[in-house]
Amino acid sequence: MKQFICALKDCRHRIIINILLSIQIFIMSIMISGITYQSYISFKNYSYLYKWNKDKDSVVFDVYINTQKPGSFEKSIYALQEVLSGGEYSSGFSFFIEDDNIYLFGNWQNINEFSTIPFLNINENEKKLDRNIDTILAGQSIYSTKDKNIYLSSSENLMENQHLINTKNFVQIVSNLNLFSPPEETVDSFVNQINENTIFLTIIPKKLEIKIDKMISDFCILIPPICFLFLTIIGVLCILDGTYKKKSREYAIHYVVGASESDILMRMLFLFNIISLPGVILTILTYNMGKFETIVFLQGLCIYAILFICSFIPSLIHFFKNTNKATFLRGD
Amino acid sequence: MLLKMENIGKIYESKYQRCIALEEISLEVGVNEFIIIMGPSGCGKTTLLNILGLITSPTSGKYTIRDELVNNMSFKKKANLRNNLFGYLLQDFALIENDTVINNILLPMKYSDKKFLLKTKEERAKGLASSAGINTKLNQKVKNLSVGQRQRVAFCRALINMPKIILADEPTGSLDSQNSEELIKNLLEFHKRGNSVIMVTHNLEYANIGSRLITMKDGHIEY
Repeated sequence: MKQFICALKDCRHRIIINILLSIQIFIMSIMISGITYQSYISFKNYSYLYKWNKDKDSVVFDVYINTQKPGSFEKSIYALQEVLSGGEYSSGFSFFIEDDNIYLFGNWQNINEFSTIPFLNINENEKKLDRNIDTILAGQSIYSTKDKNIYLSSSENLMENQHLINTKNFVQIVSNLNLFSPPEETVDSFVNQINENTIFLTIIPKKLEIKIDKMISDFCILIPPICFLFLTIIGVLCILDGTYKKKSREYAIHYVVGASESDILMRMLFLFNIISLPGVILTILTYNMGKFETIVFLQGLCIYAILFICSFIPSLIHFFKNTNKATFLRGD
Repeated sequence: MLLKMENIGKIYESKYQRCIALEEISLEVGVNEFIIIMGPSGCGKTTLLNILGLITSPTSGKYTIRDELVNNMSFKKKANLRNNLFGYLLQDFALIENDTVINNILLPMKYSDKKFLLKTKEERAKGLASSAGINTKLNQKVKNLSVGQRQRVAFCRALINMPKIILADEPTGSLDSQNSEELIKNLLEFHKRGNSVIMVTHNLEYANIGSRLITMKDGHIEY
């Protein structure tokens, strides 16, 4: 406790700098979390989809929303119904998430394996049970990100219960739509209908394989946050190095009157934490509006570990390499 | 025997040079001794004092405190001895400039393994400050004090944990004659109470105030 109080005193003259650094860490963490979280989730789902549907030549859709042109989607719902559950061709699925529930759409008769659908991990008994359902889809499903359980409690056709589908959900359905080996004319017809009938939406079909390749190249957008991280590391390193040098005499005085090596080390560690932890904690707490997400927590932990390894350890080595306990009492 | 050194050596080594600071030093310090260490600059006086005070470790030799070998002691044990057994007086007083007088005096008590009540601690610090004539300065920052007052704060800090030995490294080096006299008087008084003092000095005037005089040259004890 006394070392924590000493560390607080050590940085009281740099309050503004510390606050600015915390803000920098916060912004950087949000940037990294935002980009990597979204990219990771999409990448994981698409990779999974690709893994199980390599031979099915899947088609997915890039969706562009024009908020300047509001409009309704009612006419387009039939086009969706055609590719998902009705019509000659209907082999694909889509979903939307609302209030922790996943609403799943697809024609189960034409989908041989449940494992073809990412995030869906239904055990053998449930699989048999649902095989009997001709057209799925529906179900008020309970979704848990931890063990990925989905419980299909009913088999009503959601597509006919249009009151459940609002504009936001409709966009989700189109964005999450995956068609397995669709005939070219079916895709063309679907795209034309959606683009013509839904003026606020433009969709472009894309082979799943190409989409994944593009997603990998999209990870390049991580370069700016990484540069930001590099600058943050330098910032923390400079502050720690400066403080340790400035306080070396004080550390020596404490050492002479009875502090042990571990006390001094603890004080330095507290100082590092006072500088770097607020930004990381703030990110974990505020990202996703206070909801605890394991991946955001892990990212925060990674950023903390990177700062620890790249800032704290070098400044500590530099301090102890250049400071002799016997002589550092002499100079200021 | 309180402190015992046998064939102590200390070598400072860096990439480019190797400096032998102490060589084959043997020394015994008993209870209630006043040892004066003298010698030219760079002869190893401060290094010897630092090894005696457990601030630095010897490169070779055996050092025992109350018959316990220092080489085998844990960091924690050494820290406890620095805290309880020794009091330190340094030429530039080694005070924390931006902190108050009372906090400086109480600093060794923060690391003491004996638990004191805050009131007891403060009373003790106030008592010492009062006898040193700085009781009105307790809440002032050290940086605002005169050299003489700083010396008194350093002395109070050295005494706060009731040490058995005071290690003084040129304590009068930056004091005027009046303050130097006062400090020496305080050290003699501490010695009279049955404690030991080991003082490094350049001042020949103080060569004979102790019970023993050690002269050093080139890392050796001359006599």
